Amino acid sequence: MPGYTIDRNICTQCGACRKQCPFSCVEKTDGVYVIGDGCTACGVCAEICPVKAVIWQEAAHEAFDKISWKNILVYLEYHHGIVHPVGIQLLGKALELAASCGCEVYGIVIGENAGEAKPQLLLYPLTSVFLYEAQENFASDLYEQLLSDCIGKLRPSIVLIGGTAQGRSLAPCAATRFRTGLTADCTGLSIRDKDDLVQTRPAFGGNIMAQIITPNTRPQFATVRLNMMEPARKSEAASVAFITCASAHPAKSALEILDAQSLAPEKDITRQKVLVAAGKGIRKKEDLAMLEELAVLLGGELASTRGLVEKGWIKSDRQIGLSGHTVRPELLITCGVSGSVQFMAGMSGAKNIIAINQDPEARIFQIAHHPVCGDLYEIIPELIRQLKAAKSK
Amino acid sequence: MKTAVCIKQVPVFSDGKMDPEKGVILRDGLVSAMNVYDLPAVETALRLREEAGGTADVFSMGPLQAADAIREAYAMGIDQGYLLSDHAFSGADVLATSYTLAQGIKGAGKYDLIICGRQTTDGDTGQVGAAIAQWLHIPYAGGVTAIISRKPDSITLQQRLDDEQVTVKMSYPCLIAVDRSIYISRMKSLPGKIAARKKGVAIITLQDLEDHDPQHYGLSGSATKVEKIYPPERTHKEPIMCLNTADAVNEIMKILENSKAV
Amino acid sequence: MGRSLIFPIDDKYQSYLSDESHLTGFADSISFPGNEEEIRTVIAQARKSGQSITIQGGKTGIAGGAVPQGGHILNLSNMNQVTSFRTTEEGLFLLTVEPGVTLLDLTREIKKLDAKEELFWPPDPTEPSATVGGVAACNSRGLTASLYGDAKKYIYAVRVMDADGKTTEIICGNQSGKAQSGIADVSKVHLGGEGMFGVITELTLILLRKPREIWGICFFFSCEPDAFSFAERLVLYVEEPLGAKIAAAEYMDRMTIDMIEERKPNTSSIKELPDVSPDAAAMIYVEIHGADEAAVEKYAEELLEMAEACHVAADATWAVSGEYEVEKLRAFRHTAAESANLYIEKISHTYPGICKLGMDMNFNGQSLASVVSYIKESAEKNGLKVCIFGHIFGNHLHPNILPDNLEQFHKGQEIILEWAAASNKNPGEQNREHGIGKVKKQVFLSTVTEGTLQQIEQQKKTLDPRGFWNPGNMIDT
Repeated sequence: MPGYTIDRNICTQCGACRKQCPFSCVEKTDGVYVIGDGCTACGVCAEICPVKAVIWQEAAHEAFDKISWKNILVYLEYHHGIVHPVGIQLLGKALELAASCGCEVYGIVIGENAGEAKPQLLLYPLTSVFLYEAQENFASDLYEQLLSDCIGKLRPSIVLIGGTAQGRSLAPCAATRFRTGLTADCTGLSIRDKDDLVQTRPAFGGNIMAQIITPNTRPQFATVRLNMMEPARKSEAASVAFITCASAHPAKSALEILDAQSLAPEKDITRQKVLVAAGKGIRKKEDLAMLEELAVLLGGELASTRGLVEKGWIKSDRQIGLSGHTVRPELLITCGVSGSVQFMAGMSGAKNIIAINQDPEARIFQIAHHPVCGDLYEIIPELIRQLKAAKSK
Repeated sequence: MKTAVCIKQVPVFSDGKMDPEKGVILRDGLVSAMNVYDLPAVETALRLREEAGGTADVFSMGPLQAADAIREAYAMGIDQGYLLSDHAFSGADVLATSYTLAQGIKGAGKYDLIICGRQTTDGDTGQVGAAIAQWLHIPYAGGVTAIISRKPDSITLQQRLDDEQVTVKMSYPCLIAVDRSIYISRMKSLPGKIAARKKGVAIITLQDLEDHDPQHYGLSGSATKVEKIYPPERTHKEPIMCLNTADAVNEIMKILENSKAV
Repeated sequence: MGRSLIFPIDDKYQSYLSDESHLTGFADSISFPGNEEEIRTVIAQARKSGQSITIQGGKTGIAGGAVPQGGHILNLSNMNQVTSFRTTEEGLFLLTVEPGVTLLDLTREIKKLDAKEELFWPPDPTEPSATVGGVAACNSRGLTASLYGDAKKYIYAVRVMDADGKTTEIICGNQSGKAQSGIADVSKVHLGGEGMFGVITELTLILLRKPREIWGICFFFSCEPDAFSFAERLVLYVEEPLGAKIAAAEYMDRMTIDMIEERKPNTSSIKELPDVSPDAAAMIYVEIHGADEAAVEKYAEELLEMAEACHVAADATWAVSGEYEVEKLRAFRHTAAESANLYIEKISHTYPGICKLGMDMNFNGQSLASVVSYIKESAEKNGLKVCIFGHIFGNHLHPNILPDNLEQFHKGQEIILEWAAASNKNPGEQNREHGIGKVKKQVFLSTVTEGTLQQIEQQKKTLDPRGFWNPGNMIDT
């Protein structure tokens, strides 16, 4: 069995490995240090051991014919006649990876009237797009079967799928079928040694970054969420071949779709990636409309401090704080919020905080990543104007 | 009706225990509890049992102390708990974990419905459910937000797929992953909690499984390998910007442009 | 340095004129010193201008202790550093902190300590954003006070600065201050002294080892008499096994439960708790702490039997163990106090002038049943809404009158005086876990004994002859 083990003859029992193991799995029994269950082979102990007593033991692996798997396949999610923007972003990344290793990029579209995706794709410099006709409504078993059919024929080294609801079932099902590795929600991808995909993602609620590879099997699957990567650039020189395909053994889905309805986007402030929070710097209730507008422009929602909720200006489901909601958005813009301890306890986990307040002593500036001392009544309208201008371009 | 729920014991974090500089979990005082996303899955199984009769069991893979998570499930009312625990299982990625759980479930009996939580708080990947379904060759539906109806041989449910709500019917056996919002899970009752301490947990080792080739499990059976871990880049905290309106807006626009959120 | 220390009170400092009681005061200026030198500067400036000083920490007080009545506000929230930690030879765990450290910060910092065992600071009043200085000044208690005791038990030493900027180190319980001030234990004056005798600039806290086993249990009763019967048994008859103790026993009536449930969907800390059955007329939350899991479990079994004898449905109980899970039930109980405070905050926007109408008295010697029915009857007779929750041991209850208009508010103020008189069976040491401040002053003065009042006045004359510190708190000067 492969794994890290501690050579008792070399170990000096300094305990550094036990102290540093991020997964708390170095055990000490009767003075002897042993790597126990739960080891993920992250290698921290091996690095930190001052006497190099932690060693890696290989296991015999059947040689996997990696060389015959080449190129990158991108799943272009297609629904209601639109190629999902995450697909274009994956294309962007794929083209970048392909350039670094001299291989080609392919796409696959599965859905009803798949051919209608052509005009949306023909200006991107990929080699071919495989079109598979299937029912409009996503059924994981059906779509996965077609995706795997394509993979079986193309034998790509890398398969990239969007981290969407579809992707979340498609990717693990396909990866399991091929008995290969999948890293979900990658924040970074690069190629090493011409073929190995280096996959980076956060773990433990974002407290750790992990760098992962798929050493012995192919294809290398990775999913990436929306807006993590830059979209592909169109090219005059593009000449995509569109190939209509079908599975040799079409199957019937075991999922019977009875109904599908589009849903209004989530309003729950705890599920938002972007929040605009109003504080007592807002002089009257009507002024909240301007912050709401900003929130909508940024694809987020309006939230508030306790004070405004108790004044009756905004509903209590919008309240951030100890006696309200705890939020962890990617981006939080506070407007006229002074930053009471109660408020800050509810949002200190936000990844990126822009705070706008006229008072340079405002407590919120102690935790804001971008403290902006200024008048929100001048900054916000101008910001909205510029955002609208940028959008219309 | 026979239902199985997959649960995991995970570390629970409190600020003071994570070293933000090194990105390392500080030793000692790490509290472990049932993954919070698994609670609604257990609740779903219990409600189905209340409605349809039958049994609701849980399966988990982990070291022996993960039996505590199974006891939490017992205190909620779960019938039988199975802990897949063996040195050979450790270091498993999604492929190996899902294979291990699938083997354990297959060996324990014929289940109509298998329920998983949406994701775990440590791995965050949300893939194990779909992978188990693939190993067992049964249909899968994730993002389940409601059970609409249940028949002796099928189940109709509501899924949330990004911006769409879909109603889908599946025949047994099948596997679903439920959204956290599906139910507020019940609290453990006092008699349940007291009885849970004494209730036995079935331990399944490598030798108990149909496929007992160690190469298919744990680190050997994993297709991905963690090369290294490192602390994340934290957003750098800037000093206060006291600018005129035009400059302030320009700065903010720059930040927004660089932000992955918008 | 060029940075200003003292700011005049203008629009942006309006929120510093009130605390959680929603009593609004007035002041000329405010400062946020970061160290003792800055405090000294502020004190000197205030004295020069003939101003008095009101000390503020987290402004979470519900008695108006931090509400200024003119003069200067000395806000210590910037003094929030944990200074040092040591273990003494006798095995005492001592943590030295600045007064502005919040309880939230404290919990986090304690977890980071390089101690061999898990430690905690026992006083746990409702608001996690309360500061240690404030907790000391009110001598606060919390949920688990009946087992652990009040704040002063866990304060080893304080450093106090007087109006001349001079600091004195006081080891609590020590007679060191006697010769100087003629006061037997001067620490007793400052702890619970509501800032009337000087400003605490540093505290050394005594930490305890966390109990190895903590269980939290909620019992739901279909009628109030059943709840009272259970409470009585808890106080009088329960047999404690060795190795386990009841750390908390909290009563909550239906009105309290309804108010918590109303806030629940929008309060992250309790959002995922199931709804309380509409059939529950009252509930009791019990915490058992112990070193030995078997003993704690045995105790829990005994309580379950007792509860079943009071017609509690065993399957409808809630039981959790371990700090992480118990926090959820503590949060539920804490929301009781919060919802009452937030009710007042809301109504005070429509009717400014309304502030908290809560009581904090113990009705020792009477039964929970008689106290609750007395309060409920009195409230009903006067057309007032009231929610009652509190600590069963010592019948230390917090009835909160919930007025809907000014008329009801004034009536409520009268009624509270009546209740205070009725509760005053044991004159002497008043239970003042919330502090007296300004809001409870009337009640306090109507029930305090002559002897106690004279003692406080004497202490004030000795330690603060100029009436410089926190005027308006507790007594009239």
